[in-house]
Amino acid sequence: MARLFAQARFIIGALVFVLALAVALPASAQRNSDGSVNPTASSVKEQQLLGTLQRGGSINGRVSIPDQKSANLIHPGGRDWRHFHEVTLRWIGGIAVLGMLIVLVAFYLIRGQVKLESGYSGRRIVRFNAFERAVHWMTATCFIILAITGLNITFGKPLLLPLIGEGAFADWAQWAKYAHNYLSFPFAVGVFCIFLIWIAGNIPNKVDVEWVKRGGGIVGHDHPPAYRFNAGQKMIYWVVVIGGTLVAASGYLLMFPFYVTDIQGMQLAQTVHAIIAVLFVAAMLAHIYIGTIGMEGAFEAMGEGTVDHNFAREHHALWLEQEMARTGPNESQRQPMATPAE
Amino acid sequence: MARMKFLCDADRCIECNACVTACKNEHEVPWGINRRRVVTINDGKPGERSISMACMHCTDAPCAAVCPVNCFYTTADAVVLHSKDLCIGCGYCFYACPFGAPQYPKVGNFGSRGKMDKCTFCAGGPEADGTQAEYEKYGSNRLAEGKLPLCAEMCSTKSLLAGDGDIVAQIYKERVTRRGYGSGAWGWQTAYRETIAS
Amino acid sequence: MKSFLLACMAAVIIATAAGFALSTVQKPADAAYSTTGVRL
Repeated sequence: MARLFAQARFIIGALVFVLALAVALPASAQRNSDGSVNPTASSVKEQQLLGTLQRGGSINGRVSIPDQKSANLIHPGGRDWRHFHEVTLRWIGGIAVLGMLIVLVAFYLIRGQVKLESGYSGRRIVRFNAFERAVHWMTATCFIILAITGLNITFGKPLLLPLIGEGAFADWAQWAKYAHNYLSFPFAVGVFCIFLIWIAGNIPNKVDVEWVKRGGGIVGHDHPPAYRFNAGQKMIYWVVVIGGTLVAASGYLLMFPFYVTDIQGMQLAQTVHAIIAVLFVAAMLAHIYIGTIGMEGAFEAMGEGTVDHNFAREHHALWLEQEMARTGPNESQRQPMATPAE
Repeated sequence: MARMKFLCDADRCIECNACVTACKNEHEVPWGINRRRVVTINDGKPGERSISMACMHCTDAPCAAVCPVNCFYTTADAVVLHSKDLCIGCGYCFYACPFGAPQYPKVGNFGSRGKMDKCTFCAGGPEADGTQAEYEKYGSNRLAEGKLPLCAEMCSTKSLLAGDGDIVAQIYKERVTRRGYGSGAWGWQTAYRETIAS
Repeated sequence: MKSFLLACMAAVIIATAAGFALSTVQKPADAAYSTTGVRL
């Protein structure tokens, strides 16, 4: 019995010894061959840190203050973002906006206004009701102010500041930023409403393919038929809905900095916001052109809600057919009786 | 003219945060604004390193480049300062800064994040040197009195050096030569095939 | 014209409402970055 205990003690002791050895083994990495400790064995090395930075990563550590963003020691990504914002974005924005303006001016000089071939008939038909017009104008006005104040962030310093001086420019930029941040809400509401009220008429179909193939009435003098919205308008619709959603989402990320994302996410949000915004501006310049001076009889549709019958016939023949076949208050003239009065 | 620089000797920094406390006290920096902070890498492990970090007063300052209202300026001593009167609180300088130096009094960017605040190298701001107006906005202007930044002056181990770049480099070079290894300074391994862990 | 004016008014009202709502969410740095040990 005593021998059994002695054997058990021996085995347990051996196990404990092996365990102690196993636990002690990893520390041998810190020890020199003579047994002294090398305190810097696991320090970060120069090459390791440099490699991290060169790969675009950041060097992080631990801080004792509540703002955990400050635990980031160096983050070189800002350099790339700086180059994007100061150089790349100005090129993209300049080419997009100025380029579109030049294209529109050239188009107007060459093609001129798309006139009503048959002239005004005098008969009107309701195209957009009051709610649709209100939503459009709310979104449009907000867009104009958002565009100007937004472009100011990118182009104000090189273009406007030299003209009005630092103090005046800073005051203007301060109010511009307030306007930009707060008008984003009615703009987002408007984009959402636009998405809902006009989704039905903006699903692409075969008629649109035909319309584009026949030049859309813009290239050449054809009058390809279209429903309520032609292919060009559908493109604008989806630019507004998709672009507007992206620009709003990225914009709200910027307005709630670091709530959801880290510094790289913020830089990305600003990049997305800026690029979509300048392309959006270019697209809207074309939309404004075609809706105002680009086509005879077009502005009234959104300005007071009705268009001339000839406008409807020449540009939206299929829509006119549908409207004429319907009963209801949308008609400004009653439809002819389907059956002769008895 | 002197080119002002900071250098934090990572071998000497003991994370005592005297630099942070000195800065906060001298300039009455409000709570939540961290002009200077101490970051510890590999905390708790052998070979942990602490570095005190604030604005590095870059030559081609990215903050100045991206500022939409051009509120930054560089003094003759190469100190990067900014004007809180012009600042619109957009937050772009923080996105551009590799060191996270800009600090803002408000968390949400609704309209504005408030006036950006950052390490001034104890050199105040555009207001007249030593005035109450300058102190309220930017803190004390030690450079105008011929003094060096208080963080470096208060450093308990003299790891944080601030001042004329040539003199700072000279001090650090003496230390490095005496130590016989590079403390991870860039280029040491390339030049001497020696690293801190060897 | 009426719908345009209504639209502008709606925009201003929504923007102002948003402004008020956001200012309630706005946190100053000293509140956001303080811990229980801080006496402000």
